[in-house]
Parts: sequence; structure tokens; C-alpha cells
Amino acid sequence: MSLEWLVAVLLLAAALWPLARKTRSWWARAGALFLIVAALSGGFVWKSRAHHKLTARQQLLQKLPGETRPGGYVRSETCRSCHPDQHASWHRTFHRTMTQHATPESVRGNFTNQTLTWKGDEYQFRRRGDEFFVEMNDPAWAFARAQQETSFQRGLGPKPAPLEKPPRVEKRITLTTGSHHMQAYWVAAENGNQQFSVPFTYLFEEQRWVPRNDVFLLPPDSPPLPQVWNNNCLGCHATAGQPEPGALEPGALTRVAELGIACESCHGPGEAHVRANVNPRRRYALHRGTNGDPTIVNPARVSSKKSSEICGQCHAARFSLNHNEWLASGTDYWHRESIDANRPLIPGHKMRELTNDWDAEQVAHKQALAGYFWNDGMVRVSGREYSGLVETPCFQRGAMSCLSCHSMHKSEPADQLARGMEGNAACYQCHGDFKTKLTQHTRHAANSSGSLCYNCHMPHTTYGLLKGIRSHQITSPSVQSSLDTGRPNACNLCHLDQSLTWTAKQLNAWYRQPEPRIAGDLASAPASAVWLLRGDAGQRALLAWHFGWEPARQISGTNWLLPYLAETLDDPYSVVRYIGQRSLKQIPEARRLDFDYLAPAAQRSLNKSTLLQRWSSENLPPREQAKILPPQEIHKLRQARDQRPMELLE
Amino acid sequence: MNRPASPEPNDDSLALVVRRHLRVGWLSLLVFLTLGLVLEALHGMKVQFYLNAMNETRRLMWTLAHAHGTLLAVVQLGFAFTAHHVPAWPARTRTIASYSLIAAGVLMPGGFFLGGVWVYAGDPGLGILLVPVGGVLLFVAVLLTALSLKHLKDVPPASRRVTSK
Repeated sequence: MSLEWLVAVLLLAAALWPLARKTRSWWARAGALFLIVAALSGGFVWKSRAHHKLTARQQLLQKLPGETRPGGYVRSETCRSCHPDQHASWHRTFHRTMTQHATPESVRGNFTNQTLTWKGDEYQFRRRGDEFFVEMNDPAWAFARAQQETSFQRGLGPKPAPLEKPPRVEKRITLTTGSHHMQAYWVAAENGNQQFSVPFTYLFEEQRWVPRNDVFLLPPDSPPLPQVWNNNCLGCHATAGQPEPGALEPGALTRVAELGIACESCHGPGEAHVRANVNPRRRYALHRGTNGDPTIVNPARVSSKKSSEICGQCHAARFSLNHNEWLASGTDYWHRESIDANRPLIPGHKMRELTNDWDAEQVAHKQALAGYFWNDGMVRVSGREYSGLVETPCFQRGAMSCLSCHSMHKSEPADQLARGMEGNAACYQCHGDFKTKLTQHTRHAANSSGSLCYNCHMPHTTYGLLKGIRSHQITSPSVQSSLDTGRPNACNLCHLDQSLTWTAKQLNAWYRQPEPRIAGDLASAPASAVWLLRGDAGQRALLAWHFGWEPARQISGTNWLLPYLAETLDDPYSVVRYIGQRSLKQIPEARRLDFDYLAPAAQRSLNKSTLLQRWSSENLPPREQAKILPPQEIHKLRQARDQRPMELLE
Repeated sequence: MNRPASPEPNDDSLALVVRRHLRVGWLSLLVFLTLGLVLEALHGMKVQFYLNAMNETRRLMWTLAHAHGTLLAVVQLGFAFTAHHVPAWPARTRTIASYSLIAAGVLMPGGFFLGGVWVYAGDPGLGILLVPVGGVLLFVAVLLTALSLKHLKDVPPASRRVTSK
């Protein structure tokens, strides 16, 4: 009998013995006996359930990266003791839930006996009790195979043996990634705590599983993304991840301070802070003072440059000067003078000159990474906001930081905009003089979307998460930039029906911007349509999204967009098709049609032709009809499409 | 007027019951107020064994132990007061109510406390199962005490006057 049982039984006996001794009624004695038996049998059931739960949890934890990273980290549970409000506000965020243990509370995918196939392989998702499983080809085998093939392609290894029948395994889901729009899942290796991705992602809005390749902007028919969490994701999806050398080898033992992006990601290791503040006198002295506590970092109290850099640990396009060192030390921002010492920003404007600083692993990805930037160096994939911010004059010459607009604790989880910063208030903090001359500057009605600072200066020109996302490099609309880089300008992203010539004239008349010489289709056709039809995959995704963007549709009208959006239904890039069909659903004529962006190519073409056959421009007013290019023009633009392979992985 | 039932040899006398509940009541008040001081000290010193979010269950259980223990200590005193003012309460049911209340005063806070000593992944230890047993006994004690009030009218007028002073 364990000590717990012994103490409980003794307490029960001690409490009931005097009662039993004094009671002569058999009914009362039977009642007391019943209580004892019920308590003991309940105890057995309770104990066995608790034991099972504990065992299952321990089995799960053994397979996960240990939350044991050295370096003075104490985890968020400890922080909550003194900072319950901050803990609660953080607990609501998608930062916390970026990486979670796979539990009934965290898993949002449908695991009720789902069978899916992709590239000829079958995946069976199921749930047993509180545990989630997938039956699939052994991911460790698949990963090793992918590595062999990569080595062979680079001339670094022998040709892999002919494909054998992959071993099938049933794996327990260990980790989840994401909780906002979609969720990805991981399974553990047999030895160590390597985590392999399950090649399906669950989309919340659609409530469906889709292949992982089809939620990223990737060239069609890209091979499966052979992802190992320990080597890559832990850098930003966990707190202070430490991959350890050999993170890609079987038996790797990766460590983190905490799964998910927790307190110590932004405040640094908390051990010294906790130790110092055991003393209540010190705490109350700090409460009464105004200087803050030097034993911990508070991003709101450091310089704007430093506080932004804290966000920029992750929200930036960086590369490792020494990948092996990174594997050894991991995310080690708080123990270094500067993050740039070993993980500098990728200089987007110099991508073509790069660079002897890159190690072989990075050079292999250079071409793909070059696609992450517009030609002038502006980052074009989301999640790299700091890379845009540092190129912004407000940051370079002013006091602007991420915290000027965002708050981690006083905000709603979706965008984490600080309270009151949803409109122009954020910009008015420094540019208050525009309050009184807003319409004079914007030339739009005061309460219109055209008078919101960020619609013109932070348009949605970065791509990620199956949508357009605001650029965090603050600029002014420029036709010349659009011509030079292909990046749509803010004017044409709202005025979808206007040409670049129109925009150039407006900018010249209003802001004296020189009118560049515009040739070809962009001179007369709606610029948005040209980019949608002729642009690269990233441009097409952005424009497809803007065709469904409410402010743009209000300004430009809706029905004339249909023949252009129909062209996205058979786009080779699945995310373009996904975004295009979502925008189409906002057009009344297309709302009831059922498109599946992952349907076979023939079906997709059929969807498109069916849609176009049913629709007729004759019902449109002449003004809207004029916005639609003749079919042969549309065909010509499609033929001229920028077909270079694009990869935008947020 | 109904006479109080004559006590069986096994039943405790009124004076014994009152003395016992006064002792138990004040002693358990001392114990559970001390527990309160200990818990406050754990807060003051930010002891992670108690405050860490991983120990949420322990904190809840021990807080409940403190609250129930203190409240039941006061109830013990209230029982002594009631028994003293209802001398016509039959000794047999009074004895059962007395021991049930004392058992509840041990099992409920004790169960909560034990439930916080051993914690299983967010669930309390099996000591928590003593709490419903204590709850049933508390119910019995309170029921018998409430029913005993019908004997209030059996108290001689002189005794009432003395009592009211």
C-alpha cells in the first residue's frame, strides 16, 4: 500500500471510528460501512485512472523535445505566480499555441477515422481516448530517403537504392503547430525526440485536411516537404530552442526552454528575476518605484531599436553564419551582444550579390530565398515584419518600434494591435499634424478606406497564410516602384479597375510624383488584372486576394471581377486557386458553385469553363463591361505569365 | 410537554458533547488558521511548490482545505452552542450528529489537503474521495441538528431566560 493510500485510509478510519463505536443502529452502521466501501472502491478507480493518465502523459513527454534547456529559463508557469494578468493575456495568444502537446484541448483536426491519400500514399487518422494517431509510411524512413536523394542530387552521395515498399507504422500525434487558421501535426521518431511532420494540414475554416504542400506557395509537383521540427521550426515556434548537433540524425535529443512562444522569448531567462524577487520587501520596493526591475527585460522599457529587435529574433528573414554553431547553441539571443553576430538579417536588396558568408546549406536555398524579396529588396513573405521595419524611415530616424502599434498583453489575439491602434491613431502618435489636414493629404473622404494611413503606406504586398498581409516596410505608393519591381502599389490594389497610367496621373496631380513612361498592357488595362494574369505566382496570389478584399470591391465593383478570378481556378499553384475560389465566393453569381481547389486538373478546367459559360457580361452596366478585357487579351496575358518557380514559405 | 429521552449508557451527556465541540472547534480553528498563515507565507515567499501554474491543483486543494477547515471549526462551535440551548435533544441523535460533524470536520479539509499533496496531471490525489464522505456526514449532522430544533419548545422557560442572558 502506498503512502497516499495509507494516509487516506487512516484518516477515514480515524474520522469514522468514534461514530461507529457510538452507533447501535444497524442502519447507521451499514451506512458508515457503505461510505467506507464506496470511498475505497472509488479510490481504486480514481487511482487507476490517474495512473493511466499520468503514464500516457509521461510516454508523450518522453517523445518530445525536453523543456530542460539550460541558461536560466524558468517557464511561464513560474511567471504566473507573480504576473497572473500578463500570464492570462499571453495565454490567449496564438504565440502560446504555436506549438502544443497533442491533447484533446489542443488538437482541432478531424481524427474520427479519416482516410486520406496523397501522391499514392495512404494516411489514416484516428483517435483513441485522449490520444490521436496516424497510420502512414514510416516518416523516419521517408526522411532518410529524402536526404539520400538530396545528397545524390548535389553530388554528395551515392544514388539511392531503388524504391522499396515503405514500412507502415501507426504513430501517436505528439505536437501541433498553429491554432489560428490551420494546424499541422508531428509524430516522433522511435529513438530520441525527433519530430517528423505529418504531410497533411487541417484548415479550420474549410474544416478539411489538405496536403501540407498545398497550404504553402510552392511550385506545383514539389516533392513532399521533409520537415524535421528539431532542425528548423523550433527556432521560432518554441522558446529558446536548442537543436543540438545531429538534430537530423536518429536519436537526436533536442531541448527547448518551453514549447510555444512564451514569456521568456520576449523577456529573457527569468531565473535571476525569480530568485531576486522571493524577497517580498524587494517586490514592494519595485511596485512603489518607477525604474523597473533590472533582473528582467521589459521590451516596453528598452529602446525602440532594442524592443523591435526582440520581435525581430523571429519576425525577420535571417540566415545562420554558421549552421553547426546554431545547431549547438540554438536560439541564444539573450546570451549574446547582438543577434546579428551569428544570425544576421538577409539583406534583401543585395540578394543578387550574395555572398561568401553563406554556408553550403544556405547557398542551396539562395535561389529560393531570393524569391522572398521584391527586386528592390522589400520582403514579400509574411512573418518577416522586422525585415521591413528596419528599412522604414520611421524606424531608422524616429522612435517607431513594433510596440508603437502592437501590444502583447493589451490586445486581441488576431493581430495583437494595441488598444486604440486600429485606425490612424498609431500614425498620429508622431504625425499628429495630419489629424487636421487628413483629407487634404489623402484626397479621399475622411471616413473612407482611402483615408486610413495604412491602406496607402502599408498595403498588403506580403504573402502568407493563404492571404495578403500588410507590408511592414512603410512606403508611399509609387508607380515607378511597381514598374521596377512588379510590386503592386496601394492605389491599384484598391482601385482594381484602373490602369497604372491613371495612378501615375493621380500621384502626379496630388503629390507631384514624376509620371514614369508606361508601356504595354499596364498603360491601359486594369493593372490588377495584368498582375493577376501575367504576374508570378506570388503576385497572382496577392491579386487574387485583393479581388476579394472588401474595400477594393466597394471601390471597384464586384461582378466584373469574375472572368479574371475564373482564370485562377486552373492556376498551376494550388494556393492561387485556393485564394481565387475564396474571392469568387464573394461574387453573387459564383457563390453557389462548388469549387475544389485540389480537384484534378481536368475538373478544375471544367469548373472554370462552366463558370464562364454560365456567366455573361451582358447584364453588367456598360461601365463595368469596359473593365473586362476581350478574351483574346486575357489569353495573351496568360500566355505571357511569369512561370519562374516560386517558393514563399512563411 | 415532551420529556427528553433518557440517555442510553452509550450516549454522551450534553455537557460532554458541548465540551467536546468547544475543544474540537477551537482547536481546529487554531489548526486551520495556522494553515492559512502557512499558505500566506508560501504566497509571500513565492514558493513554486505552491504557486507554480503546474501546481494549480495543489493551490486550489489547499485553499479549499483551509476554507472548509476554518468554516467547519466555526460550525463545531455553533453545534456546541445549539446543543447547549436544546437540552431536550434526544441523546442518541445528538451523539450521532456530534460524531458525524466531527468526522466531517476531519474528512472534508483533510481530504482536500491530501488531494493537494499528491497531484496527478491536473487531478487531485485520491484523498479527494474523503471529501464526499465528509460531505454526507456533514449533511447528516446538519439534518439532525436542524430536526433537533423542534425540541426548542421543550426547554423550560426558566432555562430560556437564563440562556438569553
